[in-house]
Amino acid sequence: MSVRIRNIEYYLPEKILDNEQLEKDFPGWSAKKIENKVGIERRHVVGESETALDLAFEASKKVLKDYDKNKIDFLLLSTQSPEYYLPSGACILQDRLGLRTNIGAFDYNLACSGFIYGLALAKSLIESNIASSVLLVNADTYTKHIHPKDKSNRTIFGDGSAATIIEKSESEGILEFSLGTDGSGFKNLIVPNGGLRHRYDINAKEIDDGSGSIRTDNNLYMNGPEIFNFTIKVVPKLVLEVLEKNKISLEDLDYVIFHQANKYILEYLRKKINIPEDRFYLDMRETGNTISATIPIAIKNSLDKGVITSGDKILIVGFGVGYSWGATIIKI
Amino acid sequence: MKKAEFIAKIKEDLEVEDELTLDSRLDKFLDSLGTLALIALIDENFGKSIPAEEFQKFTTIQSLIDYIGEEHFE
Repeated sequence: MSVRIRNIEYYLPEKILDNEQLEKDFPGWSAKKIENKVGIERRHVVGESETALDLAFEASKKVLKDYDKNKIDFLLLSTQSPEYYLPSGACILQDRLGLRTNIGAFDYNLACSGFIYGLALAKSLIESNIASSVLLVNADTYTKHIHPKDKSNRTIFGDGSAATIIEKSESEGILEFSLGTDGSGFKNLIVPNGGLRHRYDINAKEIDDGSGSIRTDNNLYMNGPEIFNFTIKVVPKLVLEVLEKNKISLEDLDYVIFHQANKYILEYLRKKINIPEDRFYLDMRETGNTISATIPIAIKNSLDKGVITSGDKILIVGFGVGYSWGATIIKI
Repeated sequence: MKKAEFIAKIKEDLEVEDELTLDSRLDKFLDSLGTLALIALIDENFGKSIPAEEFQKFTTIQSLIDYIGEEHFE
């Protein structure tokens, strides 16, 4: 049985945080330098009363506009910005979207690898005859976790959601996967407080990271150098592994889409792996790093701009929080 | 690699305007982007990764050379 991506849509919140605003918030922080180095000019950020599930709902509505929603028989929601500990956001989303009740639905907690794992899950569900049409939704609002005085993370991250329909098909559209996990790095990208190990602390102390970014343990913490070390170690190997698994060479690929972490890291990885610049997606100028939504947003933008077309073979690679990583090749 | 060449690479990759010597302090250039640039430079030229906690030990360029290993330099 074959499986393919039928359609992708995404939704970004209306509110925008641009580099000029960041320059005002952090005197001495150069908008131009930010743009040149990290490749981000503006990010969409949720309002106070807006949640990842709201974004998920909007993205799903868009992708279901031209699709019979009664065909959806499984709903997967990838988020690290849940509305509640319980229930699962996917259950609430099933109801808000008016999907059938005799379908499976659950959340899974992954970030930058979330789209890849979602495709792997969807493919498995379809191949095992548990489902025939899966709605995969990636939605995150990291800006809710970021301290207002944390200039580094406010620069990098934006909010957004993407919704993807994966269904049975006649030809194979999602090839073999390589997946990986190394929990030894879990403390390097984390929101330490707010779960049941360390409760949200209303008196949490402000921590200065030494380069002018401030946070508390209630906020997102990213150890940038360690995350970069992790990507340098893991991503080149991951690319080789998935190419080997699919018996395909880098030259045979039409396009490569990595999780859009930041321009600096992606450019370094691209050169290290020898991926030609004209076949490498690099565009987070208008969105920032939207976590699990960056890859589907990139696929959708590439399709809309005609950069990728029917029949193309595209390598997609996700890596980050966990540590967790994964890659596969899709045929459009 | 010659030490002078290494210093020139640091100056270029970290976009440092000051003149640098082996005794120049590194810490003031190691903001978040400077740190990434240094990680990339060391990986590209020496195939070594530097754990984040090591960065605070690099007070001068010479201390970074000591960490990488004098045997890598002429």
